[in-house]
Amino acid sequence: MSLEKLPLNFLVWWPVLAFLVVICLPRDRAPSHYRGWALALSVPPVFVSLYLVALFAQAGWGAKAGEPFTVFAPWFAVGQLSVTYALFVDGLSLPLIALTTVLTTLVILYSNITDRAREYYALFLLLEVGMLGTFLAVDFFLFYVYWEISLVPMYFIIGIWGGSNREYAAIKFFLYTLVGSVAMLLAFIWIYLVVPQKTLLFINDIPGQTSLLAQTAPAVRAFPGLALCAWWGIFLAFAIKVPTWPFHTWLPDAHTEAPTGGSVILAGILLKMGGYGIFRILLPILPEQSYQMRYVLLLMAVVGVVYGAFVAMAQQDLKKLIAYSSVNHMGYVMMGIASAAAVLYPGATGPQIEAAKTATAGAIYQMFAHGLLTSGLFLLVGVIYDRTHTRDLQMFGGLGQNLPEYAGYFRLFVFGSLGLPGLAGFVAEFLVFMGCFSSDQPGEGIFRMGSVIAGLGIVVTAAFLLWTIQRVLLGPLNPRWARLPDIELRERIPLLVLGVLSLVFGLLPNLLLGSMNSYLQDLPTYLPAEATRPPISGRR
Amino acid sequence: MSRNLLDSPGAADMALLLPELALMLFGCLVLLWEMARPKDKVWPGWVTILGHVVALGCLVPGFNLLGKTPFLPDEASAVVKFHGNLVADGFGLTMKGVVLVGSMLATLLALRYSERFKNPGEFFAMLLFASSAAVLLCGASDLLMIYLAVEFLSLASYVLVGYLKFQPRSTEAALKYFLYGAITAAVMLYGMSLVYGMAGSTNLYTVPGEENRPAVGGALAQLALQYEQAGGVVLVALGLIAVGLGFKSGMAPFHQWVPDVYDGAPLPVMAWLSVSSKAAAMAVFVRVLWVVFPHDQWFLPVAVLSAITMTVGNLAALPQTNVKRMLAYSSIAHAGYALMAVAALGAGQFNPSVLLGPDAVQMKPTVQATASVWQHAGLPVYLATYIFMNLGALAVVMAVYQKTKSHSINDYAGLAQRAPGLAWLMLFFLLSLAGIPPTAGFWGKFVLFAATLEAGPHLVWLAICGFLNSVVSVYYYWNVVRAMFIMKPVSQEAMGPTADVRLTLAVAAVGTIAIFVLAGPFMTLFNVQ
Repeated sequence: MSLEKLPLNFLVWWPVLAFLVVICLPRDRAPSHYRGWALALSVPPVFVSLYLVALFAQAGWGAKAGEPFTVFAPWFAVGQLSVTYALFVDGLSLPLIALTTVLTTLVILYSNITDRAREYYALFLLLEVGMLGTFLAVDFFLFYVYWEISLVPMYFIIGIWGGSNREYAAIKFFLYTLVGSVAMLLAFIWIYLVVPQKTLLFINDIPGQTSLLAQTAPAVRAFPGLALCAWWGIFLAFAIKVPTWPFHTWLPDAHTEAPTGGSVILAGILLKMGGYGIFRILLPILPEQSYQMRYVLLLMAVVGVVYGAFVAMAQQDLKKLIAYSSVNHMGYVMMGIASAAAVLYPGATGPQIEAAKTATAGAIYQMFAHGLLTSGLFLLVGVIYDRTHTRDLQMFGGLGQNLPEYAGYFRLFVFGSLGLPGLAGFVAEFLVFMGCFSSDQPGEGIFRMGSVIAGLGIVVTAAFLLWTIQRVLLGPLNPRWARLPDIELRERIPLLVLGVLSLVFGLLPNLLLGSMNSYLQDLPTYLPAEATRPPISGRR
Repeated sequence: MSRNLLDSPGAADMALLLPELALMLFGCLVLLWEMARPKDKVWPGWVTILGHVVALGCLVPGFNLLGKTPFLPDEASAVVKFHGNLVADGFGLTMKGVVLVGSMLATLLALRYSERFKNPGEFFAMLLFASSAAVLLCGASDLLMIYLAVEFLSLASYVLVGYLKFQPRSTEAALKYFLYGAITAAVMLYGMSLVYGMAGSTNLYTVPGEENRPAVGGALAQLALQYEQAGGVVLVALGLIAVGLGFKSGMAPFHQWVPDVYDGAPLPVMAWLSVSSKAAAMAVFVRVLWVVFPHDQWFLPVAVLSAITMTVGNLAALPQTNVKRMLAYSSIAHAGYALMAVAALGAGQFNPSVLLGPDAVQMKPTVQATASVWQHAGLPVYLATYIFMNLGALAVVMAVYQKTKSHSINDYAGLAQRAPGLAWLMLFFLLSLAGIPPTAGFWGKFVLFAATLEAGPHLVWLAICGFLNSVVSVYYYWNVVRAMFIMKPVSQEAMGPTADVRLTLAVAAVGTIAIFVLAGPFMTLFNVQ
């Protein structure tokens, strides 16, 4: 193996090794022993992912098909199907990969589990395998393997270390996600059967390999009904993961019952796998069906934004409130997806494509920003829950008085979450709304109308988040909490890192937007033959 | 490669019977061994395994002779011997291989288990005879021969099921199995007599040297041309034969015996029944369907049977609290999955180019070239993956039983803390049974779904049914996972498996992961490249 291929292989295999090491540690040690091992083992991927970012920056943020960013090897071939071991990063996956490695380390650092600690930390490392693999793999077979691998550890994390209703929440999460993924598997097998060049690669950028990208759309035209079924099959998997309304009902349970670390990873990374999948797989492979369904996508997005905000407002449980705010925030991602889908037709004009690119950039930015901000919020819920053993908003109030540092972080993340300029969430929402607003075809106004309605969601979001600050930090102090200790080091480091990152990415959006171009420039090329631009060959 | 060995008359024909003969011989050897050294409890088991290895080796010359032919019970690729009673073809040999591997691994599970028997040699001899019957069934090509082989298989199975003769449940299971088996065998015989009455022959294939006497399939086709009503009678005969073979392979609605018999039978016998006996019955089912009846008549009933079987198995498994019964119902569900491949095989042949839409003519060559890769391999591949994951799960069940003396799922509580290795392995096998990667079961499901979807739009519903079922199945497999990992242990006492179970677990685990990682080489075993 050449050294060039090392970073990507390392990211996929190192956590496997780390998982095995931690699970095989002797049984009777103190929890901190396992935490130390897991922490130490989770740090190298952080550096490797940052090294990849640096390489990517060096290559001008737009590098494609270069050695360090592509690993390709045949795995096995059956009949005409060749399954490959293909890893790839670009501007879409790189931020999420870096986020995954960083958040995993922070979560392990933050956790103070005492019961069955060895398994706890090992499972987070196994989870990292699934997450990194999902973002790296570009052969559907491999992608599916990692996609499913990420399911099982989260089931255990919720089921073993979760709250009082943990078993219900865990199996609900598992079954919901599984329904989607098996449907996706079925859809993909069908697609493989109808395309002329048998492959499961969904990336054009592997040198010398054909991919599903250009050939699927013409091949499925003969079966419009089944093609739409396949679209729904794939969409179901991702929509449940995102989760978009109306497939979101597992989320409040899972997020609320999971231990803090689990909630952080769920909200920070696992939800992003859905949006990533839609951008990476669904839109490129089935552009025509995506275009047909653009208004359905928009409807789900807008309902998600508004409904999520209103339901969050009604919550008494702080953690549930943040869980529902995720439904709301993921609605913005779906708006970007709907905008991108709206231009996947032959006559798309320049301004519309630009608008869609803006919205897509916003959606990807939102995935990243939500990963920083909501993770911070869940950590803060964990901090206060560890001290008070309640999450009931009516029990709090006035905590700003005696927990100044906590209150500072709380304000930072809440303001970031409601989209305050200067923090990462603002950039994302601004781009999504700006793009979505003008994503209409000439003469139509549905996206404009959708954006306006979703704007209502922003107002409600701001309202319930400000109200949350009021209920937690302001007002008279509940005497029971008079002697609460403020944040300690173990909690401070993750919060500080996340806070600084959300500030940096709020002030310097180009850091992320620059890298996205390598993905965005492909957006209009997903269309088959009659598309505005020649598909694969023209670009290379 | 010449066919000299098989073509030369007389004794050389016996080459075809080598696996069966080897198994019989080893069976007698084990019996004699026990007579000579009655105190020896371990060696009969190893000799039995050796017998299976030898029998597997005896399949190799057959494969070499046949070369790379598609795995179909086709007239064209069949080497018919013994006046049409036995046949050698790729399909039969593959299924024999599956039967033998399943049987060998079940023996592995029985190595120490048999110590509780008064005379384990007899048990192993019976296992060898039963395997020999199952292997014989895979190559039977005459209706009467099929009936005899089924009866041979059944009789040996009855004895094996009732081998715990001082346990009422075991005896009850044997009796139930016997009564049920006797009735369904009679029904099947009636169906065969109808076929004979119409076709005037019991040969599935044209016998060399007697070409003027048509085989069953051809005769029935001629009859159907002459008389319109013949089709109805053919369908009735098909249904009656399906009763007998459906019973043996545990398909709904002839599945009611499965949970009781599996539960009552000794654990290794359960493993054997759920793989080898089932595989043999399915092999002959496919052969009879394929050769005797027109494909467009049977693929839809089989598809419906498949959907019913998997649904019934899965739904009935949901409320189970006994892990053995749960795995028994799950084995019914897996029979249903395997039938998906059979239905796809029929449907694909019925209309091989059905995938081609009217506008996709330019794609024709590619699609046709691959049109049957998945369908040909579907049934044996799926059963082969099932061998390893099922055996692994049963080995864990056995290891837990050694300590807790219970098959109740509640007694798996906290297994992850008491025996982490066992719990993680069980998780792995259950993931495989549920078809979740990275496991053999995932590859099996992949092949099945590919075969079914490839058969064209009229089996898409079956694929969707399979998809819903595999989600349902997760729920009850997860009952065990929940108990092992989430529930609190009742005691902290560690429970490691004994050495023989460790060996079985290792074999099963390696098989389950290897089939996934080395799916390519694995598929070449089934003539798919």
